[in-house]
Amino acid sequence: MTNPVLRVWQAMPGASRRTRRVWVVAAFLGFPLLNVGYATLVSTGRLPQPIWAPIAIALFAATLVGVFAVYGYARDRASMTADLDERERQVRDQAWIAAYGLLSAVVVAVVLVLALMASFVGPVTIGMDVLGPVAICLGLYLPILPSAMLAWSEPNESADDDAAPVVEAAGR
Amino acid sequence: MTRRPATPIHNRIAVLRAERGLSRQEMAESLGINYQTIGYIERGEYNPSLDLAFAIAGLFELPLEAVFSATPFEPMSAQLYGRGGDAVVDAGDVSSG
Repeated sequence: MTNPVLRVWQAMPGASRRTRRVWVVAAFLGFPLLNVGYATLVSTGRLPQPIWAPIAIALFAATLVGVFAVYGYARDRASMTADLDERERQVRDQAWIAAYGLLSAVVVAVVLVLALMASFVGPVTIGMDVLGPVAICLGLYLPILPSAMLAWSEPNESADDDAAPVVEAAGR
Repeated sequence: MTRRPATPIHNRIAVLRAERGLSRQEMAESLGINYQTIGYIERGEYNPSLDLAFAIAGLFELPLEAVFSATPFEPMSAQLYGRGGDAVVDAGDVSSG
């Protein structure tokens, strides 16, 4: 096994919860930060393009690596059509419920904030400069939400979770 | 109506597996489940369905109550030496410690 990408891919399901949470944060913060940073720093002229470029590349790379790693961890265990055993199905269903429950809460919160702004501040105009990145975020993140929930919430693999016989247990 | 809290299910799977020299992988393949699920059941972190519990008992060719119990199993040493020398052929509980 000499291919380093293949080795990393094979090691992903055994990653610790701490590492997995870093992946999830990288995946879900990278692209939004890229857009917020561009809108608030670059388009307003506060930060020159040459300084922003490497930051943008790093944020985009973090997103891609995070998404790849999250998928590499969960693989088909988050899929509704995968051949899973009863415990895995239970874990998958909980991940789906938690992931899309959280998404629903975020959508409700955003609508509430927009409604409050429209009521107390004034008309809210949402142009393509906002809708474009939101659409990309939806396309990027919606499919991996259950996988990300699995990566975020599953405990570390138990130290005795190997496939070998438990010889010492016979003497207990 | 007050809901009944979930009862922890104790089991002897680790001991039975060791007796038979079965790895989790082999046992999981026989049962058609993930080997990690065996670990979760052994540690009492997952209660199997009745269907899976019967399948596990069937794999060891034992009645269900010999593999699973709602009360902790006595350790094997207590069963062998703790009753005035009456040796009982049984295995200790793993999930209850």
